[in-house]
Amino acid sequence: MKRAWIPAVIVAGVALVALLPVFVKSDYPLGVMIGVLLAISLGAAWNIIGGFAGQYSVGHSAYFGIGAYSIVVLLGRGLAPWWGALAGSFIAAAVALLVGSITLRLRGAYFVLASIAVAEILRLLALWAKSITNGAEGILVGEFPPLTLAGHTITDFTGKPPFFYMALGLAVFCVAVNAVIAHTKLGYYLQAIREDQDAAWSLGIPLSLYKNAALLISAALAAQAGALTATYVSFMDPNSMLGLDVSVRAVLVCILGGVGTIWGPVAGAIVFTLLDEVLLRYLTQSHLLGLGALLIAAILFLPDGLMGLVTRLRQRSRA
Amino acid sequence: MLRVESLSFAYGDAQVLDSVSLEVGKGEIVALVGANGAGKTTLLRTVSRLVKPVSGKVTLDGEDFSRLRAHEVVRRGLIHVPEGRRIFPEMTVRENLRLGSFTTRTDRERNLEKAFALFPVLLAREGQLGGTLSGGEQQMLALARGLMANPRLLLLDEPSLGLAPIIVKQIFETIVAINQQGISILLVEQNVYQSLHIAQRAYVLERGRVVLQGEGKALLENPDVKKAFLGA
Amino acid sequence: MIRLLQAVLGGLLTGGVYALIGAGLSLIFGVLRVINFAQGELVMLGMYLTWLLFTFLHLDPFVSLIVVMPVLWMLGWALEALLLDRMHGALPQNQILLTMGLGLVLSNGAMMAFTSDYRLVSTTYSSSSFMLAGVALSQPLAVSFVLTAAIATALWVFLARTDTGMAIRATAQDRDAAQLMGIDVRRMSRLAFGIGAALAGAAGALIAPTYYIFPQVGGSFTLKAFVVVVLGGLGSVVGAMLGGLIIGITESLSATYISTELKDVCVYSLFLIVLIARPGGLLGKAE
Repeated sequence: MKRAWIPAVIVAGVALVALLPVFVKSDYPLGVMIGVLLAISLGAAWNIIGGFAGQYSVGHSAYFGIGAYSIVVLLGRGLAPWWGALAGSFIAAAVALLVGSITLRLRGAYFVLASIAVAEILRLLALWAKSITNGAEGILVGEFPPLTLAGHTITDFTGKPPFFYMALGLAVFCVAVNAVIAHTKLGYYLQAIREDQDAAWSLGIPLSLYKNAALLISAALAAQAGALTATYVSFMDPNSMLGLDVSVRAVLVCILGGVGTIWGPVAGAIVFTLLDEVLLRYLTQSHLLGLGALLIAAILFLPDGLMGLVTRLRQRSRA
Repeated sequence: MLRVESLSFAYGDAQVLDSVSLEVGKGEIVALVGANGAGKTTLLRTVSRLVKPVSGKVTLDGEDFSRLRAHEVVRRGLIHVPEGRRIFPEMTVRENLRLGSFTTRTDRERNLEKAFALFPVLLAREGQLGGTLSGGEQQMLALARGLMANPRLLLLDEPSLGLAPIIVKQIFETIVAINQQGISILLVEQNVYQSLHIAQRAYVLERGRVVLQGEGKALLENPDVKKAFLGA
Repeated sequence: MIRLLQAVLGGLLTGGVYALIGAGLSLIFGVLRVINFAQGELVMLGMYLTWLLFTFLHLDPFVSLIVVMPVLWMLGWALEALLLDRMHGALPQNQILLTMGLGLVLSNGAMMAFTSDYRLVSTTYSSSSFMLAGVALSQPLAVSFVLTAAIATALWVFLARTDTGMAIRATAQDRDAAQLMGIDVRRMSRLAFGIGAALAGAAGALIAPTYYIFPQVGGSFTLKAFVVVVLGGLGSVVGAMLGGLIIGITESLSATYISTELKDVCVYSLFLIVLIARPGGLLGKAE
């Protein structure tokens, strides 16, 4: 294999990133890095259903928010965060199964609209169910119990490095799931469904089974991204965890990077997060203005995302 | 009046039209025949500017079409009656005809009378939705709608497709009658026998190329044409 | 009984506004095959424009329709020419994302221009009401309902009776065939987007006396407009009118009998049910 060096480069790259907190001691750049890693996780989660299967969910805030609320609400009731995060993924997967079995038979714009409606229903329910979610006032996340191993405290979760490593782990895991899917039967079937549902159906591919499987995996991962985001930010309310912004962010990361590619969410998340940092500085609360303009520009000028641009440049240099 | 000069068209890598040249003179009926997928419909769509050719040129009375868009061609008197009739299904017969005269509002009433005289069945159905008409009626409506725009040249794409033999006969008679009013016609047909019969000249298209041309009646006697299209 | 009547009539009045927004969305979808996710933001712009005219020129919000509608029409025309015209034939999801980006730009642009403070158009009649059959109805909502009906009728006459209106419908039904009639379909797209924007702007002006005005107000109108349009059948302007009234009444009934906080949950649930049971809309053919 002439491309055997690729895994080595990836491992080296991840190791290099993992060493960052050793050298970078100030909080701001670490915070930005955590932002990038969380965006990678959310984007890679969305990429499974939106990118590979071509089902543009604009309601992934639903699963993100379920993950966030599960871990925080359960933590408040004394359940360790690991179990809370796991519970979040299970609940998100269960909701995805229910939602998917109903909405995944819808096509094109109808599916998009249904996905938004589901997320919106959850957001409104979170605002309403004050006894669990504290409504619009939101929840301050409680203290994490320290992580101990055989009596030794590994970390007590103060400062940014512990969150950095957790975000790195989640991002690597989400991208790895993407890579595995892309190279297995599931991935091929999903891409067949994306290209032409009717043709895929006539080839005997069970559409609803694979679409639901993709949504389920995607939702479980998005819940993890939500759980980690909520604990890292340490405050949550229905609008910040279940709002349309979250869903748009998930899609935008992939659109920028390249929908349905393994590295697209990574490239998109880096560009998106860095740009958003700049925009936050200059436009403060109107920073989404830049996000919108970016979305328009990406669709008009980079319809295949950054990875598409890379492919095109590579083809040109070969020609 | 219509000159098509080495027109080529491709979908991606698939060459659909390969340097096709043809001509329609004033007052002529010219038939364009060929098997399914020979590129006949694409040729008409290119001439009426619904799609843009890769290369080549179309002129009507010397005017180059290269920079025109489809709706501007209509004002030049070139009217394309498309394959599958393309009636507006959720509009009445009368509304369909009214849209036919979108560019010729001042002649609307006069043209409407002429259309109803040519196709009395449309008058009987004038309030009915286009989508509810029978195939033959839809074809008559499509022809009538084309005539509303004061055509000088009509492009007809498969006007007899899917119709009962008796209606087919009627449609061909109408085409001759329209031609006798001085309207030139470029006729694309699978019904090779009938169209070569009424056409002064004809072209045979095969895989995007003109492989044969000549007088209509002469082509009827051509052994290749007989073998390929007339089952002899 | 009075409570029910109150809910139904009150819902009908707000439903009229939803109908107007939905009709615009439906018209745009019919002609361009694009779902405009910025429709609510156009309503928001109409509201701010009305507020500006009211605050600085003391123009009555209902009179300001004659300014708001043409301005929004021009904006819609320009947006179509600059952005959506280039998207023709692109993937539907990309078209959706494009209009979402547009919505973000408009709402955050409004935030920069007007801050996120709540604005009010407090007319002398903003909170006045009158009695009808024992039911108290908001006077400004009643006036806006009458104006909505007038605008809807004008729209219907335009689409059904004029050559240009018919050309817009023809473009929606069969774009190629419309071109063969000599119709400039790109111009019709611009026109349709302009009219859709003008309808959204009109809705904004009509509700300005009774709603808080803030940059994010559009989002909920966009979602409501989808519900309205799917209920009436995508692309059907008459269906959207009916859908708007149904949504208005559903909302008001659930606020009365279930909970004000859950009224939108009921609306979106109804939406999901209709979407799954009758994807062609309540009036449309099943697809």
